Amino acid sequence: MKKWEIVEDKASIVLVGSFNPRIFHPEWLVNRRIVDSWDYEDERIICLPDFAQINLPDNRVLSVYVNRFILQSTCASSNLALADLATNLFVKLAETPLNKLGMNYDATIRLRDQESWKNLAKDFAPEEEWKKACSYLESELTNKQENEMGLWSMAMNFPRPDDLKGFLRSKIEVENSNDRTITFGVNNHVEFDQVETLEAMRILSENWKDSLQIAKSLIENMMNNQLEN
Amino acid sequence: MSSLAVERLGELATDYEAERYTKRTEGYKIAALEDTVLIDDNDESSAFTEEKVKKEHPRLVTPLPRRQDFVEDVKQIFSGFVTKIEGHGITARISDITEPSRPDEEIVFDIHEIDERESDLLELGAQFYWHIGYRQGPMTSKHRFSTIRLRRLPRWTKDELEFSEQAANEYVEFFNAD
Repeated sequence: MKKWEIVEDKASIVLVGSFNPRIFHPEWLVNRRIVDSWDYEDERIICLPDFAQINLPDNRVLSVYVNRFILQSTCASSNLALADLATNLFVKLAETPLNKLGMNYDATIRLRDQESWKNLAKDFAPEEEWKKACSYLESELTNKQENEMGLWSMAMNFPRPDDLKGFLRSKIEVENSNDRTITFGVNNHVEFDQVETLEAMRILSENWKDSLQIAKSLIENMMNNQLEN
Repeated sequence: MSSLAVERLGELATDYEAERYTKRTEGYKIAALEDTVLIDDNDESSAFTEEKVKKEHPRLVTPLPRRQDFVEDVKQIFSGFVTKIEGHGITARISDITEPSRPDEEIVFDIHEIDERESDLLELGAQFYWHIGYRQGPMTSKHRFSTIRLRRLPRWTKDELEFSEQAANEYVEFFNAD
């Protein structure tokens, strides 16, 4: 039996730039053939002059602020097509200034048992080093205290796998210690140097699939390596 | 706008924002359809950055529902394009994204595999993704799924097609010059 399972995951495309949220209305998206026609409910749509949020079919959410565009999906079979949706949008808004791109994947992972929970990160965040550095931890700890000690949050920076400017950053964080869940995310961050909107979309389209693949295999390998050893 | 939405918005946002929203929703729809931007003469709002919205109106930003109904464990993904449509049968050429070293294949599937909402996209050359895997969740028993989704890609504009045709003609003239 596997020592961990993904109980929730989310892929997202984040663009930083200058946006006009009032354009992003379901009517416009459908009329421009950017998304399939659907019966949207007003209750799930927020369209203010400076902020728009639309729950799209297939567990996708579009949020637009004046400085940030976020498109996310919680349905793995919709993840690849997110790049198509973003591209389709910005081909029609080709004058949008874009500065940064984030291609992100986050998984909420539940550890099977307390032992797995404690074993996670024993290699990359060894408790002994911390115990040595903190005098009161050197004395004998009760079981309860031992259980309370462990990795809570860490981020790891990687160089990019390509020639683009930016970084890959992975973050592990405890979500809920009671049900042994952590969030494990990978942020593939690209900085644009005055690129045209369409060029930015080309970069997104060419890198989105690999970005998801890198994130998923990184999480899978890291979790297995930590828990199998 | 439905009364429930007004109530909810009134609850979530300030009266000022709710009033503006109610007053202008129809305007947005029209503006959206016309691809225009509404200019509000009395627009007193400062820029709503992500930080500002989250700080001042935290409940306005509705979070994703906690705990998905199910999680998809995708085992295999193919990309493909339609090569023939005959009656209810669709012939397509597919490439394995999960195992790219595998050779391309030709498959035939029933038209009912396509979501009706996407039927307008079905034509020769239409591209699609085919996902195969398992769904499972707290209230969903484990089951296999297979989903073919046509890709909604940007269409060539008339100008782009004319430009391509012109470029092609120039090449033809160049190579036939002798």
